[in-house]
Amino acid sequence: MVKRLILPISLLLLSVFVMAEPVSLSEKHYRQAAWAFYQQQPATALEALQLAPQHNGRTRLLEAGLYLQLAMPQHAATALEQVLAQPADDNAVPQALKNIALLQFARYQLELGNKTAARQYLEQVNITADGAWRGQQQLLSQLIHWPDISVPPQPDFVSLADQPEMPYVISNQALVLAKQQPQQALNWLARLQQQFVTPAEQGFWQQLFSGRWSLLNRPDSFVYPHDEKQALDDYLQLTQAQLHIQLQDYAAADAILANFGRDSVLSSNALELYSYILTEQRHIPALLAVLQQQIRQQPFSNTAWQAATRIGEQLERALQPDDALAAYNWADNYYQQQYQLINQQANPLQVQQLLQGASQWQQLQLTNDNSLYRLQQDITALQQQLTAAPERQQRLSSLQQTAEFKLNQQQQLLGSQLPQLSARRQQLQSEFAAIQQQISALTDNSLPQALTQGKLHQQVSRLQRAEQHLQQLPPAQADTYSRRLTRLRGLLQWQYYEDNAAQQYRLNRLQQQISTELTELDSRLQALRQQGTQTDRLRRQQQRLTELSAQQQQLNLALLSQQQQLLAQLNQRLQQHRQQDIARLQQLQRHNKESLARVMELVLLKRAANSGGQP
Amino acid sequence: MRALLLSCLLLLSAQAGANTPVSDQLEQLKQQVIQLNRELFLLEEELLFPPQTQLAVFLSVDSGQFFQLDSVELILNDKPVEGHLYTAQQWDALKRGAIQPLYKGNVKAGEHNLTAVFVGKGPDNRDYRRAVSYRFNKAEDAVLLELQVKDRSSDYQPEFIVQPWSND
Repeated sequence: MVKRLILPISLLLLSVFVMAEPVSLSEKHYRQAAWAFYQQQPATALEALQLAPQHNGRTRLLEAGLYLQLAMPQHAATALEQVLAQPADDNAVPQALKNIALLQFARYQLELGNKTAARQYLEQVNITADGAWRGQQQLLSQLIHWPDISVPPQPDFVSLADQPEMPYVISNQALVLAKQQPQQALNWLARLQQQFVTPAEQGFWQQLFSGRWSLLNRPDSFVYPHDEKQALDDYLQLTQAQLHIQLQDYAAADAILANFGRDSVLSSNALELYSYILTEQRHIPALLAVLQQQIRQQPFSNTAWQAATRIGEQLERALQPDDALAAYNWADNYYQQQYQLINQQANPLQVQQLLQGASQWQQLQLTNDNSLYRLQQDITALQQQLTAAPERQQRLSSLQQTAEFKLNQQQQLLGSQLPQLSARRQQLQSEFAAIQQQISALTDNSLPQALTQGKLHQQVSRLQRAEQHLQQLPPAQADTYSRRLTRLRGLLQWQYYEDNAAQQYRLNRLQQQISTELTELDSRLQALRQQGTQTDRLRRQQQRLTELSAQQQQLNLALLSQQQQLLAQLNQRLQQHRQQDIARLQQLQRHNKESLARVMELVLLKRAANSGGQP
Repeated sequence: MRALLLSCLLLLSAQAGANTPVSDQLEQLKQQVIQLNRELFLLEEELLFPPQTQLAVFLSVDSGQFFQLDSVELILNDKPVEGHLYTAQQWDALKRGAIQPLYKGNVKAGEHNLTAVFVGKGPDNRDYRRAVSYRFNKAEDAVLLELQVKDRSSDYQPEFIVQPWSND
């Protein structure tokens, strides 16, 4: 059975998280949301999911489940409606997943007392060919329509085989059947006990929509089949005992109840039944023990209070007036104590007490009354939001500081560095142009221009003057000087070309350096200008942060106000409970006092009779 | 437990009412908190981890039959930047397909080296320690890397991969 149930769930899971290549970014968000889900952080999971660029049926379904975990049924319903409204194509969510969501959603609505909505969701469940979730569907249907449920001629063990809800479905049918045919119902329960086996582990989707987060706190796994099995066994035994009592087969009921587990979650119900049959059978000693046990086990309960006076009643019935008198006296004191304890413990609750532990009486009221329990849950949830507020404010402040720092940095850069860099760029560009001009001049290679100035010009001028002097010299000397002058002219020309090349090389290098510096400057200027365009964005972000900060403060006030309202409601209802308890106690105390007076009269009469007829 | 829960449902449903104005208000407040958190997250991304400098590392597991992760350490340019010890519940989440956001930080533009050291139990429940390095160039776009632990069926050994995510 376990295998057959786990398999489809695992297959569904695989279809959810299979590592298909390439994996879309939306899928990544989806799986990050799953991480947060498993960390028991539904709000973070929702955040991760809602940041996904695209959404599909599965993400919407997960969203719906997360909203349900956060006790936001309206948003969950909206998300679920979107999933259900999707056309049935290849991308549609499998019907099995829809069924899980619908069933758990129906159950949630039922817990809220909204039977109409629960019925609507249940009607949309379309059980697949493999019959998965049929048990849940039938069980919820029973709960919605109770007690008008259909009862088949025979228990349907076959179609509900492998369904963990089968014992509940059949036992509910047996309870209805018992109204007409109790013996037949007992037969059904006997057959059922032989049928049911250990329930299966819950799958991902079932957990998601179940809202049973407390189970995830346990370290070893998500479900505890043994506990459930024991509870189920106890439940069936108790139902059988009830049916035996209905059939007035007290011996059979006694056989079950006498051995009922004291640590069972149903032990108080068992004790109540047991005390009933012991009363009917007049097993006084055993009954007294049971009543005492009820008083011990169920403090501040009507059962325990009734048990207190019933001890005296039983002793009175057993014709033990002295003992009965003592018991009534004890009960009277007990009621007085209970009265004082309730008044002591029923003080108005504060939020911290709700979180750290209310008094025993208050705790009992919170546990037993669903509306009080929900109020407590809502107040606790609001407190969690309020506790998270300082951290959120800190994040906001930190972001505001960051935005301000970045803005200042940009303004500083733009204000000081941009003009400096622009000026430097202009200067470099001028230098670059001047060098370019010099290089062009050198490339033109105009010797005459070179000869119009500088040292070379002087040397050439001197050479020319010397050449003019040549004509005045005698021919023999003129020839020698002419050769020397020719050599000198050649030498000057060589020096000119040599110097020109070196200068050109130097200028080229200088120009290259300036060009590199210009390129760097340009990129820095571009980066700066780009930052200039981000200023607007930063200002917008700063503005948004200021708005968010104000929003956060308003939200905190709203949360606090809501919490106070809920707390006032809770305390008001607790006071109503207190008044009801006190009224009940007073009534019982009055009844007990009447009995006490009656027995006392008897005892006095008896004593008087014993002492010679004088009262 | 479920028996009690289910049998109590009938009584509870009779006591509890449907959606009331108070529960509507409560839901609206919760929605406002969710929206506020989301906006805050987006602003944090923009201001604290802009794409020009963002490096984000994620971790995922495929199957996990040949390796059970105990811890992982991230070393960025020879400096440890992140470490994580896994609980049984977290390991279970990874095996079920969840992706863990492991690290988010800022790096300058240029070449970087990321090393992930995985420690856990390998095949036959033996102690297993394996490092995987990845060089990447940080440019204008955010760098998103996924550390993947996979099962290699050819030699029944685990395999550790660094898979960059595309930003589309």
